[in-house]
Amino acid sequence: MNKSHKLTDDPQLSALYRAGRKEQPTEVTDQLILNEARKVTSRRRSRWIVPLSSAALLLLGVGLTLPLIELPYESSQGFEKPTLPIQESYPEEDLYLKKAPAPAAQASAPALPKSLRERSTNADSSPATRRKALSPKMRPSATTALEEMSGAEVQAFDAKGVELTPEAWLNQIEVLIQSNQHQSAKHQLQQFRTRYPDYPLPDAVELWLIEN
Amino acid sequence: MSSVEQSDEALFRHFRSGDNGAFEMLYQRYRQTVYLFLLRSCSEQGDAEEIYQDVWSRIITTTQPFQEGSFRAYIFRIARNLLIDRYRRNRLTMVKDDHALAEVADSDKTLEEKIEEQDCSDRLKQHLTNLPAEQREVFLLKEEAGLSLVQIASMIDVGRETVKSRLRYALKQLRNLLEDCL
Repeated sequence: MNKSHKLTDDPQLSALYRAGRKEQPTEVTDQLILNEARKVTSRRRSRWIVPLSSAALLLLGVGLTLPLIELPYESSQGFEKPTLPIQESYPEEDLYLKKAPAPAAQASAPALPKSLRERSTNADSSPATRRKALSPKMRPSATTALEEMSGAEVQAFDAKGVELTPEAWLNQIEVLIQSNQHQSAKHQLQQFRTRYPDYPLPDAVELWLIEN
Repeated sequence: MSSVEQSDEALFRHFRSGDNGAFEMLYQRYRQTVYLFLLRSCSEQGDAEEIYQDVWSRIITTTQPFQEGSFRAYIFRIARNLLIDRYRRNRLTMVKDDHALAEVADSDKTLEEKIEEQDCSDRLKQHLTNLPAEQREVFLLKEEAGLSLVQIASMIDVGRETVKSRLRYALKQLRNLLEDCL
């Protein structure tokens, strides 16, 4: 018995068989089958479109919503920052704030009463010291201007003072104190307190309050 | 790598992933051979056409993963199963091949040679339909489907020696009947 793994072959019969292989399926049959395949493949492709686009939309939604959720959270944290409506009024002050060393602030405050000056220099890291360093340049000019102010001008200053930054406003108050305009200083301080009740006062102003 | 160079199995997998071009390639490869296998096994061209469409419909819509083996064996297994189903249901009888004569493409041969060859080819088809179903099946699975001994034995679920014996009988009978053509 032949135990080979090959089938018996008859090349002549095979050739005769192949010569008669002429028939083919009709074009209509071909089109029916190919159309069915097209339908199925398009269904298989579109099967991915819905979940894929849903995932993309979800990601987009989350990406857009997260920052909006974080915004109110950040604003509710701690101290409410005061608005800085006239920031543009002191552009050089900001520059100076970054560069000016604390001693320069002391040197540029000659009009400060001796007692106040001594006390304020004791606390280098106090907000007052820092605040003095904020606008030492401005202070002399402001002093001169305020010294020349009439009562009507003080009223106008009051109206303007509402728009000042807290630091600048406190500086103006300190200048008023230094120029012995205590009534105006009190008036300004009252307005400042109304507007910024929690804002820390400079040591010099606090001392002046205690003394007066 | 273009799909022309890809194996049948790779093309089928691409088609299952939604690549219609892969199916068209696969269809062109098996279009005629599956059709002829069915045509030589059926009594009626209409039946062959119908089963042919069913075969491809099964290939297109199958949801079962294609695991192992060749695509060739897979598609002819489907064809054979559908053929058996149809045969059992309708009790089809094998009749003479009454298809119109196809044109002979080979232009180098004389008219007499062409007619003689056509005559021999028609006689082969006729004798093929007269063979016992088991022998015809093995002959067609070898000649038309191009399956190996192992694949045929596995498909029709008989021993290899049985397959070889059936084919031997079929060839012997055909050779005796077509002696003047060979």
